[in-house]
Amino acid sequence: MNLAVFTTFLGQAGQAIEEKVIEKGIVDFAADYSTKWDGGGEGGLFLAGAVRWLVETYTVPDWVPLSSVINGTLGAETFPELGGLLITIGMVFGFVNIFAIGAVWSERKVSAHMQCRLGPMEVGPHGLLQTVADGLKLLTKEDIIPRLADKTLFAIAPAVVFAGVLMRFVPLPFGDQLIASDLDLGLFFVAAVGAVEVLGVIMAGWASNNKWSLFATIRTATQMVSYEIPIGIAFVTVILCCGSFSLVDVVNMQGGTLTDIDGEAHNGWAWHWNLFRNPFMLILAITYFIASLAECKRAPFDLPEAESELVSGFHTEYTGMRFALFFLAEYAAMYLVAAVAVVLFLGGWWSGIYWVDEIGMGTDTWLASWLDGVLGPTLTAVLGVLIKVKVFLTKAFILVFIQMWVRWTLPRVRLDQMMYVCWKVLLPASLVCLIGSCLWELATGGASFFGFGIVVK
Amino acid sequence: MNIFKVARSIVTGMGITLKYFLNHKKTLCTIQYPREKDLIPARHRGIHYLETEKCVMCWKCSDICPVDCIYIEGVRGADGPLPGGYRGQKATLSKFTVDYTVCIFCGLCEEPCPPKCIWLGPEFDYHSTDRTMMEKNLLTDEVYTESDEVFVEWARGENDRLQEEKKKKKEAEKAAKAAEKAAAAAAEAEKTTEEAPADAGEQGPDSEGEAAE
Amino acid sequence: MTEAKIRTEEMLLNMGPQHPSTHGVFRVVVRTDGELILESQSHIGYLHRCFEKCAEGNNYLQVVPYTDRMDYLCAMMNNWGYAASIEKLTGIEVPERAEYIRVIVAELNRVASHLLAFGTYGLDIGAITPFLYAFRDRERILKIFEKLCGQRLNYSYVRIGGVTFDMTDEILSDIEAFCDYFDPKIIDEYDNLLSYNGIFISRTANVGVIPADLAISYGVTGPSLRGSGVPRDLRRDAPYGIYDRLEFDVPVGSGEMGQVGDCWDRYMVRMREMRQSIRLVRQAIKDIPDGPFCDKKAFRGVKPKAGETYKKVEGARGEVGFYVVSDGTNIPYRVKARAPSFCNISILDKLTSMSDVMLADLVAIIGSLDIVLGEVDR
Repeated sequence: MNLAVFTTFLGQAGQAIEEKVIEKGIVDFAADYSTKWDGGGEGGLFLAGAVRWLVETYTVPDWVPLSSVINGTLGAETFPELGGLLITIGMVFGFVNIFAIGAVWSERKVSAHMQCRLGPMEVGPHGLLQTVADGLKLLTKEDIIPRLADKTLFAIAPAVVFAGVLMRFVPLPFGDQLIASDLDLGLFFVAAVGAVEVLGVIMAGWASNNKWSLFATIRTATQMVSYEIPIGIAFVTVILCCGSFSLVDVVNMQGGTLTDIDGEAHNGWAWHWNLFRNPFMLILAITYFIASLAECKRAPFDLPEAESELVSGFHTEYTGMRFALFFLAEYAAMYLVAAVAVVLFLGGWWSGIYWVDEIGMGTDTWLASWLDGVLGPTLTAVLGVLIKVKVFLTKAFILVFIQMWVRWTLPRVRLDQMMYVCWKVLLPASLVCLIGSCLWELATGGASFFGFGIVVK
Repeated sequence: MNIFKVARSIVTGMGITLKYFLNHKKTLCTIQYPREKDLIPARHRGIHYLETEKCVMCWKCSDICPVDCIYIEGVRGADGPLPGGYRGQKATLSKFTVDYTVCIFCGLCEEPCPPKCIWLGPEFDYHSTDRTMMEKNLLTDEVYTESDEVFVEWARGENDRLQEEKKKKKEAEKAAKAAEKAAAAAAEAEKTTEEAPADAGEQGPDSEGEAAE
Repeated sequence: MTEAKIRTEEMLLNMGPQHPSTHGVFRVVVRTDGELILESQSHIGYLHRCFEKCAEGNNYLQVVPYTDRMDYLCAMMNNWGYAASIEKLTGIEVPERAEYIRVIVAELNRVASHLLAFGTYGLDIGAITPFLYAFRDRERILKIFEKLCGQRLNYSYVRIGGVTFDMTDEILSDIEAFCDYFDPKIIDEYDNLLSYNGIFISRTANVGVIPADLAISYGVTGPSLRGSGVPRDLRRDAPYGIYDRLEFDVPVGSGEMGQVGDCWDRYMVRMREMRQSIRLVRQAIKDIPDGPFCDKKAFRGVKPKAGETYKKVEGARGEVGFYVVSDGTNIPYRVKARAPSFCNISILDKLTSMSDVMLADLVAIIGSLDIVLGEVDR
């Protein structure tokens, strides 16, 4: 999304390129457009500016179909705002869809391999395209709306659920500065918008006019509202320790080149992750993970769609693409809570190895300078970005795998036990962690690794 | 309930599933059915087979059948073959069918048979799009009843008739244009229409059988 | 707003006949207050196939395949129950080898049936993986049966006067291999994965408690009765076949995780019975004598003298009894089957009214009673 980082590298390291290729300068040009809008480094806008610069410099040749339309659109004054937005939305949406398709496939494979089966094997190599085929099948299915259902609510409920999940992707980074919008109140936004999803689920269950769906609705409301609280407390604790609501800031507090309280810079290693900040954070990470399982309705807290009790829960009556939207939303939410956990506790895109983290950051570590020599500054910068994206996604996918692993092992809890876990286990535990973390921060002065504050200069 | 005990039991359980996940190649216990097939044991009770030449038409199998799904017709000890009948040693059978919508594969029909000529074989995968077609003719080993064959005959006749009509229509049209070309075109059409369906019918099951092997 | 102003309503919920956790076409109409169940009313009969009337129209031999279809998960015991009652009526002596074979197949069938009960119970509670492990092992037993008698579920193997096919050495070694493979599995995998899982225990312990006297008064038998702590097992209390020569324990529920007679106890009795069954199979294989495997004359057909008899055997779900009245012809005058599932399920409505039961608990109780609707409705 945000190409600022690319261009920064181009600016910092690619002097030759800048002189040779960039007469007016892609950086300036793109930056012009992004500052024009709201003065911030908006990723989508930046990309739009870059695209426009490319088009203005080397216009689309005539033999390309629709070349005049493309040239005209990209040349128009309204393009950066509109195009930037569309590109950002498109990339988030595309990621969600592709992730969901991949996650459904891997969930089927993970479950199959845990159960001595092979899973999908027919469509594509190792059934890779099975989910695509299923998606096509769902698209072509009849859209059935029960006769006595509340038709309006029934129709818009899946969209509300999906939108609720998708909106939470806005402040979520995918790598260093690769973010749709770095909101100042990022974590607050994530927690607040989560409620929209609950609303959609309640709408779906109520509008279906099915007693089983109604049960699921009540369960969802009870569960999601309850589990917001331990999650909120986890957020608050991290915010207290890091001093910022922004997800990017929270990540930057955990790795790379860190600045001490007395202004001295030192290298960021894995022990600077929030997970190891103090013992309470360790417990908090576990409570957050358990609560996040309940938040995205995964086993053992899959009461809203408990298939052995409530047939299929709130989406019993849904067919075709509306059902697929619920499905997409579920898997997108899986990634989302995992990614938030990575941001909060697992150091975001920082790999935890200082030298790897500093590749392409313009600092003078041995690995970075060696790569500079071998690949040249531009490629090193790109490599750095790719490594960060890879690290972030890998951490998130490992957490998603754990979610799947838990689902295929554990039985489902009962409603009262679910509430017990929330109010009598997770809530006290996270409150203790909140207070404990505050005291610990006061006592140790915010030193990392359980207060030992190991610093490598 | 002790929370640590619960946590420990959860971790133990997850260890088991992880073990399976990591060793999934060794623990695999399914087969890819249409491509691989399991060995069918010799005693398997699948669909029936009849050794027609041995049958003495004693009706013992249809008598013992708890659900009365075996239908036998014919003449015991008749000299010459009946029209459409199947000549055995001591009887001429005109009908010996088993209705697989009814049969329960109990195997009781095997035992009382004096020459041991009816037995349940290893085949089990049979299907049809119609209930009436689930009746298997043991005399020809085709899963068709007489009525179905009549239906098929009728359908074939009807098909031919329609083709003939089409051809005539075409001919009439072409005749109006050019009388010489019409005759050649009709001969062509006749050839292609006759060959095409026959080919499709033969190739289907054969290629499947090869794939299964 | 005060509490009185919030008006709540009871809801009448129709669970079944098409529902994932009713184990077939079983319908329970429940009156619920939120998640709590106030009252339940069971409706059965969706799978009624007139077994008893069919038996009056067929001769003694032809009834055997019908008994398969009663409890299709442990058909061997049904076959045996019916065959034993006719043998008692006619006084047919069953060959020694057949008795041993009967014990082997019946106990293997009991394991297969309990495995299915274990797997589907996990499914009811929400754990899907144990179900597939159970089916993997059940598949081995079914393969052995297929090798032995040609069918996987409806065997018609135990018949009046013996068994239909002889046990070969190859099959015996298969069974031995299965015993060696399966015995450690119960503790290593099933117990660790499900039985002692904290969530599973919290879902099943103290849920659906059947006191011993209530169980007896409702005619509950089999593992469901033994789960309530009543050590009644026909194999030991009224030995039939060669059970009096074999050594085995009768596991009973002890209230380890909660009260005596809760769902966990009933579940655990089944798990422990599987080990005892393996023990029995091993003993029977060791002692199996040579000789004929059936009474050829009885196989051709029986014609008992006028009279009546009742014989019961210990099935996987309880006591399978057959009351047969003969009028001296080769067709039974009356056959009445005592189906254990039918008696076991009768206690369900009582259980839901006795204590606070939630919707999820209802599923757990139905699963722990381990009913087969083919047998309930017959």
